Amino acid sequence: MTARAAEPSPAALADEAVREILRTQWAGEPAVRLDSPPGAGKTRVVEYLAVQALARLGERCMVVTQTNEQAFDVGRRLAQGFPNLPFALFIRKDLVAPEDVTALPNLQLARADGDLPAGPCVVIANAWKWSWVVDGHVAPFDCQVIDEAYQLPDYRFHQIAGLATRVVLVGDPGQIAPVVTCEIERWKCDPTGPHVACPRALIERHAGVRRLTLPVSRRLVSDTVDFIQPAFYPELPFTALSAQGERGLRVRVGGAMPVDAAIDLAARGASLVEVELPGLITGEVDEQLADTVVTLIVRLLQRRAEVYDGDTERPIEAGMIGVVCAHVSQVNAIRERLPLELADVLVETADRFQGLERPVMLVHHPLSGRADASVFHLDAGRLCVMASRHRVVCFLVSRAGIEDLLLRYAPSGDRVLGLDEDAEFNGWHAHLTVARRLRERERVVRLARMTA
Amino acid sequence: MAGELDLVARLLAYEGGRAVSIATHRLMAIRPDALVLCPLAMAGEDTTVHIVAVGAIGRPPEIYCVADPRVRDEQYELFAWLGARIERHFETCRRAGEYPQIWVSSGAVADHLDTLADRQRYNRENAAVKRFGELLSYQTERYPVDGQQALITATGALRMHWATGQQPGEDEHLGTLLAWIEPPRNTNILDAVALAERVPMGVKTDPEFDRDVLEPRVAAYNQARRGGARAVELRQRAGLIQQALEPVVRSIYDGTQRAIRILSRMGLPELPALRNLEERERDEFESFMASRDAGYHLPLVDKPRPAAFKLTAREDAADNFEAAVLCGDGVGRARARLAGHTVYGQVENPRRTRLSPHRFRYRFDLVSRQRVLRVRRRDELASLGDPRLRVTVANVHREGAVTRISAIITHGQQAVGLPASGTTLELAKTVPDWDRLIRTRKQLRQRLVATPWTHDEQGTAPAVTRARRPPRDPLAEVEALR
Amino acid sequence: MITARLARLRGSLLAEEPGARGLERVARNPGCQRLRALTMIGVTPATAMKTVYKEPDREGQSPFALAAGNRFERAVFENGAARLLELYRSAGRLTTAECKIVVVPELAPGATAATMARRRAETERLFQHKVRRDPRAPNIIVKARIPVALLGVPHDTEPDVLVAADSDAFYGPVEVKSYPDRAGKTNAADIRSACRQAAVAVIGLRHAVEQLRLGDPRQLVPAAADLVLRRPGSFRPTLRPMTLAGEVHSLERALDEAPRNLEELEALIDAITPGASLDEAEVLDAVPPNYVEACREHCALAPKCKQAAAACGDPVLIGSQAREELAAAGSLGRAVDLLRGRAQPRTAEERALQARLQQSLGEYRQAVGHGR
Repeated sequence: MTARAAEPSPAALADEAVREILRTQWAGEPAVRLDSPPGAGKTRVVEYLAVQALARLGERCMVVTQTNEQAFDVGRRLAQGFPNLPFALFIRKDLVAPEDVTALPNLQLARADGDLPAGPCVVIANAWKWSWVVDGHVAPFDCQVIDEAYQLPDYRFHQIAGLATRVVLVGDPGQIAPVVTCEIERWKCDPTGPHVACPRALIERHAGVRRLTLPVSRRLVSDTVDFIQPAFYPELPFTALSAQGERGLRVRVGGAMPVDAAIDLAARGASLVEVELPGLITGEVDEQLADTVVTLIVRLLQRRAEVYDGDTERPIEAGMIGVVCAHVSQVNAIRERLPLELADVLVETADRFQGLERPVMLVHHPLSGRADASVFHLDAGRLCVMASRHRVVCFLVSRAGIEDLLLRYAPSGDRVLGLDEDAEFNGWHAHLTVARRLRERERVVRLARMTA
Repeated sequence: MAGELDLVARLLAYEGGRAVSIATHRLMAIRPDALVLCPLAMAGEDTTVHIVAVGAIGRPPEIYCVADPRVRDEQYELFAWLGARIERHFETCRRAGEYPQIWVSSGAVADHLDTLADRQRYNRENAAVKRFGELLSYQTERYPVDGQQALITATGALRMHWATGQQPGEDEHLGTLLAWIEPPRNTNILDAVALAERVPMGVKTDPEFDRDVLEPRVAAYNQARRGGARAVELRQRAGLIQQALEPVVRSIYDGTQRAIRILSRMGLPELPALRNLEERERDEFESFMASRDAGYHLPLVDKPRPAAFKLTAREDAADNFEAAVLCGDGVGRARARLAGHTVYGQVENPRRTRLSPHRFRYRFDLVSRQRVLRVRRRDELASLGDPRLRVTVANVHREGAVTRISAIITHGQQAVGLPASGTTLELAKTVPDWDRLIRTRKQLRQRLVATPWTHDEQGTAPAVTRARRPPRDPLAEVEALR
Repeated sequence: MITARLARLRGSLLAEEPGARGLERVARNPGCQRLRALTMIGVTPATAMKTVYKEPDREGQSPFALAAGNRFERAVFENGAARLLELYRSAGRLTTAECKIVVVPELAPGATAATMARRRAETERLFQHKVRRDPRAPNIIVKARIPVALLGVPHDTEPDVLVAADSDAFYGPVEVKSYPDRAGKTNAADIRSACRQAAVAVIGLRHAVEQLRLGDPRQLVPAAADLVLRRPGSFRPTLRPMTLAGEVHSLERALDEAPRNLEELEALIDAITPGASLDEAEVLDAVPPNYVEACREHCALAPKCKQAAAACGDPVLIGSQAREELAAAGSLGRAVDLLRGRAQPRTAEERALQARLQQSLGEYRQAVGHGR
């Protein structure tokens, strides 16, 4: 009788997926699209590709980010992670770089085409900066690695695609689509339109482009994956790296305040918990909800909550907590309530939280307090980003009535001819899936009244 | 999404039973030589014009009506006639180094002109009609671009300056919009609006009117025509059709003229950036006409390269127009302040630090009490008072209702100088940059001279040229380099 | 019995066949009990406006639009639907050999109830052929007659076309509309309307599959349809396949909820006056509407509901966003009073709303430079 081979562990699966991606560069694949669920280590893959190109393939590698901040972050990670290798950060002439970045000895700052290294190198810049490279001023690159590729609209990719022989697009297909601020009526029906996220447009034009996926999320625990994957990634199956129970929340001090029930639920292993205030139409700014968010944060600290991850335990500090909202006004409402000692809590909009993570997250639910569900608030990408930033626990704070709102909802029906995608319905469906699952798994803690 | 200021404006309008002003400056140009163009289509016939009223601002219209726009030759005559007027207008503008401006009543008319232009500029049967379509394409291609001055809808122009007490969608009916702005005396505003709503102000007549009045006359005309009636009879029957349609189109024409009068007589100064917007319009028009002279055709479907140019231009226009209104219009500025698009506060702690014998760093704090702020660390902002002063945000600290922004001056240290303590300063991320598009286009031309295979719809991915044998564990090899 | 209950609610109003247009209306505005009530009892909003409220009918299509639509249909279907077949061939959906067409009205001409029953029967027969993979099964069926049940009452619908290649397991619906296809510039309301009517056809087909026990309805009839639109300025058709998951889902939900909605409606009306019916204006007035901006696009009652909204100062009068932002105040009048400081806030939410409104007012006044 032959023994059945053991199923590979999530870590092994993750590593093998990374090996496969790295091998594509040895094979000289002209283009690879790498789809990654949240927290799968996209940026780490970007680092690996860059380092392999430089140190193993002797190639010139250009790394493309979407923002300056992301460029700083990648530069930091490469320089600190590989202190014996040189890297270059290509930025605008008058841009002030953070001091910790400029202090890195193996990270050169290049501000003009002529400053870029000749020969094998890794150069990191945002897409805008790359689009200003003058032909002939810079030697062609062998490999172009685009981080957060689903945030890059195709017309911007068009401007830089010719700078390298091979391209790897690394991104999360479930996140917020590229923001384009103008009318796009003449391209709406075109699946390869200039406004379309470049990985999608590339596959439309060249269906044979190699598609790979990262099958494991390092960030999300399996409990969260159970919510996120069916709602937002039905075509992209993935699992959690951490084993059940390996990561979680502990509290040292008991509590009897209404919000404590949510903390206790989290301490029992729930990684997604909804904290529900009594129903009320509030519009964008909900003062009571903002109070509840702050109360929840304060209680976590008062109860000496800590997060454990394998063998390590850390008491929760302000810097380990993030709050994400749909609107700037909501962000401000929470910020103005945070006491001085909680200044390190990162409070931001979903757009700004893309690419970031915290052990503990609180979410101002995008549909909370609304009379109608609009396309903006139903956007699946927005809720996906909000509900996938946490490593340990996420508290979704909302007003009661979200499920009813979803069931009452009639799609506005703004369809685009000939395109299969119905983003509004997909978003509606994702929201309802999450809402129902939270209810079915008894993850909803109902507060009878305001807690502050 | 409209913000709180616009919500309050609508509340005030509702309360007062009349529209309230929401601009301190006129936000679009009114060219004295502009054409007012009011076409009416036949329902269900998307590329027709049954009757058209066209004229200069403040002047009575010329009217052209065809008995049945489905009769191709008659329709072409109307297009050729209208095209000749447009051509004359274009020539005059071109000679003067100006740009042609056309006013229509509402977005529905603009959309209809767009359909016409898209269709007729490919006309192979009639050169005059083709030319008409080509020229009209200037207006219709410019229309989706923010801040364009070529094709102005009366409803759009009024809505930039007035808030009504009705739904935004209802503002697209010129009649109801005018009722709010100049409510008739002794009539409840809602009654006045309900009455105004019944009068067609777009590009189509009422189904009831079509059923009871127009269709019988058109049918009678066609019957006579098919029956070989004499020219006199046909003219008479055509005259009946015009008799029915003319009051409708005149009413739309008069409404559009009235809108222009209201805008002209508002007594508001022009948005300072209007001269830049008009300059841009002149350049675009000249470029458009040069392309027509050179025989370039206007595609319906864009290939990737022209799409990149067009989208870039539209984004640039959107950014610039938004920045122009924020900088130049009082209500625009108030809106931005409430939404946190500008940072407004008092300067504290201005200081100069020596970095080296001849280098200094100029810093100050800006203390703001704005409820909503969008500023983050490393944001780059410019002073609205003097855009030469530019700063990078070093830190943002909020305590309760007060936000303290620490800023480092990056430009304007000498030209503008360190602001004094207690000064009120307002900073914004974007100020208009009217040369940016020229630079960007130049760069795009350079970057897009060759189409990469990724964007070549006919091409295939390049063959693998440099396959190498990978190591057994490429991941371990990279990890070993840490 | 359902028909008796509906007849009681209708009172003196005559039942109208809703057709696809009427049936899709039931899902347009799920929050509007008034629209739902009328659709359930088989009365169009236009009829209610005319007959119950005695207001002139401002709805209806222009005869020119009707004529254009008819001409386009004729062009698509003439010569054995040559243009339609060519369209599907160019799209690779049908081969040259797949040209079997059946026009159901030609199988049973006339307009009597017996004729309609015969058309339904013929349609069922054709479906059975298809499922049995009979090579004679047509590729194109024009004006099949398919009932869609609302509250268990079947209402016949006639999808413009049903299409299937020989290798397809079953038919898919095709909506033929004379709307101009302008790609990304196509009128959004036109697309919406066409997709919703196509969704009715999907549901009708699924019902048929279920009734005739032909197989798994969802597998045989996916939520998708083709839109055949018109190239602007010509009679050449264009083909636009559309997935309809959202439209089908919302319609299915509305149909499923109809029985509960009917009970609620009966209870509501009985509470006003036992035995009342919806042919009386006061009774119809008492059925709550949900007036929103989109109502004007599809519902003849919109002006009436707007009047009702005006009477109570519903914030939706100044836009959907206002209904949400001013929810704490509840009405425009109250919102204005808070804004002007004429009213004391009664709740924390009103206080916060007042503060925001007054701050905005302050900024506005400063900007325009005079006291308003």
